Amino acid sequence: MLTYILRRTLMMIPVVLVISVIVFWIIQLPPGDYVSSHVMELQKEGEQLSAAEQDALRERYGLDQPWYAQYLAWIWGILTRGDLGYSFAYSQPVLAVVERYMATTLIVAVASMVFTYVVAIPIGVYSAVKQYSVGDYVFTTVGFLGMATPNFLLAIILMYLSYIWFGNPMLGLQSPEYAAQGWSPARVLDMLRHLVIPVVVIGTASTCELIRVMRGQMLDEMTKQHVLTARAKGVKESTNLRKYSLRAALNPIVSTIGWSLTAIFTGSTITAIVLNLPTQGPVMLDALMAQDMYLAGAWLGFMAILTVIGTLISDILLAWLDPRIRDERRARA
Amino acid sequence: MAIPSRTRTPVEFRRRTALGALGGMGLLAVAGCANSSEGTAAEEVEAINQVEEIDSSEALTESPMLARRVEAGELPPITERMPELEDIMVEPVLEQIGVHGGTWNFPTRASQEGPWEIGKPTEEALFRFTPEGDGVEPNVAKGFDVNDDLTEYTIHLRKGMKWSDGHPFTSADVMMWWDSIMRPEVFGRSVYDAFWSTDPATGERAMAEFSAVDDHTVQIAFQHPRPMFLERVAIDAKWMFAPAHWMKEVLDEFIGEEAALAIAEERGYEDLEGWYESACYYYWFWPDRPMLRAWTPTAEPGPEQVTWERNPYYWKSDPEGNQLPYIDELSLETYQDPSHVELQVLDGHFDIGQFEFSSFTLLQENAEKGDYRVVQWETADWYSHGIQFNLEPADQTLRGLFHDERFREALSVAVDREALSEQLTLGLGAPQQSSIAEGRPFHQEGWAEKWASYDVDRANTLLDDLGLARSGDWRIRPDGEPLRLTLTQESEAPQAGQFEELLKHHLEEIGIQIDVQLVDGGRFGELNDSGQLQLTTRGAIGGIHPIFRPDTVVPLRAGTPWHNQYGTWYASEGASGVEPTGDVMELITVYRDMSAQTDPAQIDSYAEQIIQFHQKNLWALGYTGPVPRLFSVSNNLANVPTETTFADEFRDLGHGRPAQFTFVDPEAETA
Amino acid sequence: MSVISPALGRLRGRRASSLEAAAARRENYYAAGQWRLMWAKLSSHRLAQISMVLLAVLYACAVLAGFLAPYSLGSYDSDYVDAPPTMIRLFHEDRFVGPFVYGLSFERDPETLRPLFVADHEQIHRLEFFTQGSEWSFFGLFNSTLHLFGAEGGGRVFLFGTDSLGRDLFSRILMGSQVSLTIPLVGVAISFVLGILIGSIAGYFGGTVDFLIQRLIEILRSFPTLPLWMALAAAIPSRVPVITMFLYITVIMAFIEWTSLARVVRSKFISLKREDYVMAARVAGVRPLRIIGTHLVPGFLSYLVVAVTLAVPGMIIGETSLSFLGLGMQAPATSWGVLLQEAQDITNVAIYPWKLIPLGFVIITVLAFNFLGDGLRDAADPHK
Repeated sequence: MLTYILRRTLMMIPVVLVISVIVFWIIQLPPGDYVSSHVMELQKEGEQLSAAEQDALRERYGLDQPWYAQYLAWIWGILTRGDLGYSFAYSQPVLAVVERYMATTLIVAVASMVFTYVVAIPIGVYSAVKQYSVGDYVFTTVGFLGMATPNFLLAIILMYLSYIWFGNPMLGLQSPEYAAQGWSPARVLDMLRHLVIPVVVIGTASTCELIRVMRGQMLDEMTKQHVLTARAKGVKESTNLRKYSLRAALNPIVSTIGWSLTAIFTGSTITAIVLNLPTQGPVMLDALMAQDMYLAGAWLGFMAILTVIGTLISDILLAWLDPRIRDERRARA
Repeated sequence: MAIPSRTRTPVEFRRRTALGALGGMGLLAVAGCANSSEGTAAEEVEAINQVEEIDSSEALTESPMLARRVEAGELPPITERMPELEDIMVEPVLEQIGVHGGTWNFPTRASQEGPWEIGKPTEEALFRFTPEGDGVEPNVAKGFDVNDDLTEYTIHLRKGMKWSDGHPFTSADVMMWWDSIMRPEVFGRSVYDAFWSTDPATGERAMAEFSAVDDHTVQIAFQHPRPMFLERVAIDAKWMFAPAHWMKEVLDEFIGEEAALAIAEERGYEDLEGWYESACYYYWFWPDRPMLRAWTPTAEPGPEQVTWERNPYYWKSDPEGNQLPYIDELSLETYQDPSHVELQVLDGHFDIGQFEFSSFTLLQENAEKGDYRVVQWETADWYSHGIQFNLEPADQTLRGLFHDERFREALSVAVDREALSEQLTLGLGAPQQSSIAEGRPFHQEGWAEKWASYDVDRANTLLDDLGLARSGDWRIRPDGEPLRLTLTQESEAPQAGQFEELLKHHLEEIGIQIDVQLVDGGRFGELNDSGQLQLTTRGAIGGIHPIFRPDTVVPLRAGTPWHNQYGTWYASEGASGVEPTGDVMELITVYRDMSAQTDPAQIDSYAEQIIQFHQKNLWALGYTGPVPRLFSVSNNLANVPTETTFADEFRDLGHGRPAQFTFVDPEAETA
Repeated sequence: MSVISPALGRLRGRRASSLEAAAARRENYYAAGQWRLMWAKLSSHRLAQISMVLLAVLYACAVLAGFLAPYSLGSYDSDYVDAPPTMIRLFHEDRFVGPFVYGLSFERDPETLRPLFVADHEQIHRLEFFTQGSEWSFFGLFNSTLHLFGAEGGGRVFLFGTDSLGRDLFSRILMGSQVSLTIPLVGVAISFVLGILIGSIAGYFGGTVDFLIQRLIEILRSFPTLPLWMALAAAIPSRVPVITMFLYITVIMAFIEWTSLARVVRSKFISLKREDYVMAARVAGVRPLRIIGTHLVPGFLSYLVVAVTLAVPGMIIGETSLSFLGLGMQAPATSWGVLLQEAQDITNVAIYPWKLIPLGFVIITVLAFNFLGDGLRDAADPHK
């Protein structure tokens, strides 16, 4: 088991490196570079930069080098100094920018995940047990509605409804009064209220997915031979559910936890833009549009690592939980 | 579905202008109405504003917020914080004397470094533009003298004036800026146009010389006459000073490169250039940097919000002696998407919001619920929707066509302006040619109607005359290829894609294939710089006066699509770009002559010549007339101009003098 | 047949035939192929039935979009911008007239500039069926000017209202469905083929091949799609015909999709590989590709069909996300994603809510596919 984990972890490194190269290449692929975006921004402010000034800027940022030279310099910086590079747009080290938005990103992501699992699993079980009942249909339809509506539209509709019904569009993660203050129960409550719409929007898609999978898995398990036998033997239905069906059904669910976090990280970009959340999504999108290479590269690299770790965890969990493999190991031992 | 050929006469313009007047477009007309109905109120305000100097220090009153601090011993009393009595700047109030207090909630784009948008409204230039926009008036400076041949300017500063940290503001600050910041080009800009005088004979330029006569007087000497110096300072440099005491701790000239780099790194910059650009130019993000603005930041910008507080040493008061600003605090809050600002304005949260005209209906309908009013400021653009021809495209055949005014006329009359007006500007943008509106300086008779009818037959005839015969759907160029033009626009532009789609529809009716290209800002800049654009709908030409900011109407530097290559040629002194000929070259010649004039009447006459070249040639075509920039203003906020001009030259919202904005009832203002 | 008595014989014959019939049916059931079983079960799943019918209707409309839509993609009617859905009436002053619309006059509210449409009861424009209108092309095969319905004279019939450029939303939804309903199918087909191929190779051969393919899948999955889309958008030349744009979008989406399918196929393969009948085939010396094709794939084909049906909604939503980011169809071509992106505005949500109607279509289509997939899955379940 341990050797398996070790081997997989080691394999992760070249995979991540390959991804980082491709990502970096893609970021600088569109014609133009950060300086050209910057110049356009300045023009809107009524400023002008002469061609000489632009060239000087390019040299300063190292943008006159070919992309692989920039990439190598960057990777070298990461490996030797832990220096993630410099964000042209923020005029700050990438690390500083990442730190700024990390906390809120994590809060939103974790809240969405918790919402997803806490809501989806019980509903999935219920739907499976009471298949084709009214409750099943209702949950399925509501769940599907949330999944069928594109995030960005759902977000703007919810925002507007919140404004109409509650008189407050609930934008961002915090009401401005609390932003500058220290932490207090009132502030936490305010943040929770603001989290409702983002979590609902971000969470619904994965929740529905999970409900459906959970339901499908439970149905599969509930009709398996050993369950039918147990039922025939007179084992109580609830024990049946818990011991046999639920446990087995949870296997694939648990093993995909690794994926969900990434999915939530990446999928929330559009929602974050629409809902004005100070998370990494919009930051990354802006960085991509402006070709702020190191900032975009760092975030995208980070997400790639998360995905790879997610796969790793899923595979490990699957291998560990699957009783056939477990028994195999025991037998060997 | 083929659009039947129709001809529209300019008679219908009258209807549009009448409707436009309601929206505040006809400046003179509506201004007259306002005066007559609120006669007494206007008279009262005029009486208040008669006061130009504060007589006695007894009259000086400060905000309770500061009074508390004075009592606690944290601040010196107001008489010591403000300049000497006769040098205090008295700011006229627009409607009423205000009340100290309140927090102004201000939206800023969740951009990169921090709240950009607050830069222009809070700017304090040495000399600023008058409310009417016809010249400059002293602001930070108290006044100026100039000798007869315009070679020596003497600028008087205010005695007793202080920076926001209490340090005195003296001529040393101006000298520091010139000697250590502007001249050595420390912050990434070359020495501004304003500080050069030109030899009328040879055309050679010579840099100005600064000298400090005493603590509160600065002299700027030119080798040759330099007309419009202060106006150009107001446009280019805006401010002409920097806190000497603070700069001495920061510039490498004084503390050595190593120490300077250390500071730069501490502040989060990799090199000196980036840090200096921020410290000297975009400096309003730093709470410790002394400023002269009405409010200063209390902290570095956060991801969601940052608070600015009143400057205790602010050097302006209202006519009754109340120290400005009235408003105590600014709360700058970030947003990702313009719809957020809309929602929060509807909610009554943001006290002032700035909008494109397309939001007009939404704003108006919710004005009562949100407790705000919609205010329209005119822009100085000549059109709201139009196209510019890149006069030096790579393709020579197209170059020939673009230079032929029959081709431009064809593209102008082939489009149904009335339809566009309804579709893009809620019917408010007049269906007229790119031109200067009636009542504004340099308005030309007949300009608005030129090539402005909707006449598809005429368009087809013109194109036939040019030898562009039609074969099937498309017209064929001399080289046998179908005539195909690329129309480029920035994908970030408001309503991006809609106008272009309609243009494509109309122009394909007369046989010209149109490729619509929506690109991001960086890519657009590249295409523009390399001369690869053909047609573009980005931006608008215009401006307040060619002598102030001639960029869009005279090719002096790169940037404006229609003359990009010519401007490059001029700015590089012939090293790159393309030399203009004909009327375009005339523009440069006339501009040069105008810059050498000293008599304002002469300047205006040369400016009019420039404008007339534009009327004659129409290098950029306009389809819908200018529409105002919208502001939503909380009903609790007073002294905000209802109508004035919105222009970058006038620093956008800053033109309304935010320091004298006041809450009618500060208590009712929640955070 | 019996000889005893004709009547008795007939009676016995009838009973015998119903018994025989029952026996025959049971025989059929046991002997029935996989697909017939599935179809039978599917027919009893009511929601799936409704969904199938609904989808059939939607696709039929998409095929006939040019005919069904009263206006074309290129008709901009500046006299009717932001118009609410036109009321079709039957009675005029208590007299039955047949379907018609009143003429509309267009004005703007002087204070808010909101478009106001007042019905003029003097002007009656009947709805004509099979009327002549703008030209449309049936997939490039032939052109026609026949439309299902239209308003006569100067009347306008905007069933779902218009947008700010004066375009009929109903027509645009129909024309947009041609893109939005087919992109997912094509994309899913591509990822289906890729997924089965690569997944089965990985699952069957195992070892290094499996390892490498797994790493490839990993790389593709962790790939940030956003910059890829944007880079591609920048690289696509401007004058790109609608079909090519269509293909680019499909390829972009399929590019990532196939990995999940491949993973599933692979794991199924791994478990099925150990089944006895596969072992038997290998022992018998059957070539690997034949084993895959004939023995393994049919074993879970039903599962794949379900997975594919359920992947379609994801593609539909994906197309709308691409349009949101500005990477959708270029005007004047349209898709539901583009329509949704145009509706993405507070002004529209608050003041012109009919612009959100395409959302209803997206939801219904996604729901239909989901219910159909559910039904298919239940039908394919061997344990029922």
